[in-house]
Amino acid sequence: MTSSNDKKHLQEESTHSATQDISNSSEQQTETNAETNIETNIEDQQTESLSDGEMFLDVSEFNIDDDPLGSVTRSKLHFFWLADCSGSMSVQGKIQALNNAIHDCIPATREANNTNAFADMLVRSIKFSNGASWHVETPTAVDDFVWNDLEAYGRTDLGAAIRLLSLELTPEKMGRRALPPVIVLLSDGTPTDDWEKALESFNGTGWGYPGRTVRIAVAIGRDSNKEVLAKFTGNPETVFEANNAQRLTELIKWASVTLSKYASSGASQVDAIPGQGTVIPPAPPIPDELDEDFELW
Amino acid sequence: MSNPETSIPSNNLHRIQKEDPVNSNATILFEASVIGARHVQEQSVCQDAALSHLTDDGMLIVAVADGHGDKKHALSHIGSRLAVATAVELIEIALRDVIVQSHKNTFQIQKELQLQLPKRIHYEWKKRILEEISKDRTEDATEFVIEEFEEENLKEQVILYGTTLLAVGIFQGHMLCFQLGDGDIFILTNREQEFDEQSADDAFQQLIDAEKSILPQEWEVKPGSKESEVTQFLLGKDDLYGSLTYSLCQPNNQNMAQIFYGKHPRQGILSLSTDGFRDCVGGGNQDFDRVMRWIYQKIESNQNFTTQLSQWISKVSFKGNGDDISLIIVDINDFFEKDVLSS
Repeated sequence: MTSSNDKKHLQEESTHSATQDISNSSEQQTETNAETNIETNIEDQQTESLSDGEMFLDVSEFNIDDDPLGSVTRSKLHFFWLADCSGSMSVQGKIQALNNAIHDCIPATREANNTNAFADMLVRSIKFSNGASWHVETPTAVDDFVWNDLEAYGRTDLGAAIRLLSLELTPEKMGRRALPPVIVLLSDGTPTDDWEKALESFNGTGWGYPGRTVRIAVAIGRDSNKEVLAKFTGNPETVFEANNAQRLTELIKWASVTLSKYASSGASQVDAIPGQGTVIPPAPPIPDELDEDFELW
Repeated sequence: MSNPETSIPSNNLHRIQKEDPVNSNATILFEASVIGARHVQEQSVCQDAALSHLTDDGMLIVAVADGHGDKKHALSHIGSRLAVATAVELIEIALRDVIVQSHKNTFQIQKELQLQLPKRIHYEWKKRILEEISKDRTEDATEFVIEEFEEENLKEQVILYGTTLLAVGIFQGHMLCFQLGDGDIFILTNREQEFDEQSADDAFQQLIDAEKSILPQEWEVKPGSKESEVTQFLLGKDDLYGSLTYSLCQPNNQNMAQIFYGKHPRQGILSLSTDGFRDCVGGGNQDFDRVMRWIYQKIESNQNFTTQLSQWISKVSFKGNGDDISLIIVDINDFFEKDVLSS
């Protein structure tokens, strides 16, 4: 039992620490000052600024004078576009609408990322038609992200895209304690390769296990196979239909801005049912009246 | 049984080693829950809680908990506070119970604890939640019985309080650890200071040889200035990817809780921390190990370091992912070595 003397000692400490108490949310000014002090003190700290490559110090060179504060890092949010550029995407301007939509979402995405002080978004993309390949291979900061227009031709090898993705989402490359990666599949048709086997294999891996990533799919046009897309995402409610360019733009912007913000919030995920994943923010509502300027797919 | 309710809950408090400690195997060197920079920015409250309790006869129980903090778990700052209070009370009871069970081997005790303690903690935590919920009702709290938790609306209300929970009890050479969800229970010791395995009973050896699921996660002998230095992550689950965690608010969470019971090192440092700390320093075991060693050595070399540690942790949150961070550091010693060898 804590003695009365110890209690008094602790109470005195409590009084002392109350002046620096940044856990009392009612003392906003104190918190603001604390934040300012933290910012100032960080500059005063004699710590090394470590590049990504130097982030992990060799334990054998452990030095008590090396304050590890210098190696503390923001969380990384990995965002993946999986873009169908099969031949059918060339019909009715769908591929150009996709290209335009991603171009259009970049400024808003940068703004959202810049207002997030505690996570950095890194974007990559995979294109698939005859096989799959990286369109943007290096995890790219949003501020540096440039989208080169895709061209449409060939088949719809979704399985190849999944296999390529699974090579990146490994514990060795991602670690375990990372923000849930966001994966957005954009497709207008039905896969032409052994996608189910690839998906089953991916879902059996560390990060691929259902619920560990935020996965959505955008069904481009009415001919898109929503059943396949639902199997990819694991939940039919995370398959969204885009029947014209306007809707595609809205959904791509929502995915890039809102979903990334949600995934980078850092909130703990607790599954009521294992593998269920968490409930994502709602997609923008479908307008009651369609803009006649946009051709229906 | 001593009353843990009178223990001082920590909230950005720090402690230095007591000048005249109670005779105990363990002494608290540092204890704090620090609100994350993200929560400061959002003007919300600290979701973490930390609590310690030292009994009159020298048992030390420490606990940390991390409330989930999103809209679905809007009252998790209360849930975490109730979780640490529950854990401190029940770990003390459990540890006293097992110490007197000399007729059972360690392996048996471990199995029984795994069956009983998580269920008990879950039940008692829900009971405290019920009492908390009843404060808002006009009816007398005694009118509610635990079976009412079966009502759907009450189940949903419990979710609001969701939290992880880590707790350790140390007494007379024995150590009992509990973990549900993410976070770290970490030990740094010297290999010579580990309890001599040859002096342990056969059951303890059996525990060492038993399935990995009930063993501590890792033993790593680190090269460097002290070749015999070892570090160990106790418990923790490999299937917690990303920000996924387990929670007291989940149904059947007792199946996801982990227990470790055994002898603690003769001398060493034990730390409990919520996941905010690990995530801010890189997330990997190597990073965590490096940072904790730095902290331990700073504490050893600079008596005033613990007074600065809270602010340092705040900086970690600010520079990292902005999460709340709770950290308790305990010094372990062999005060009751004679009792250990004869138990």
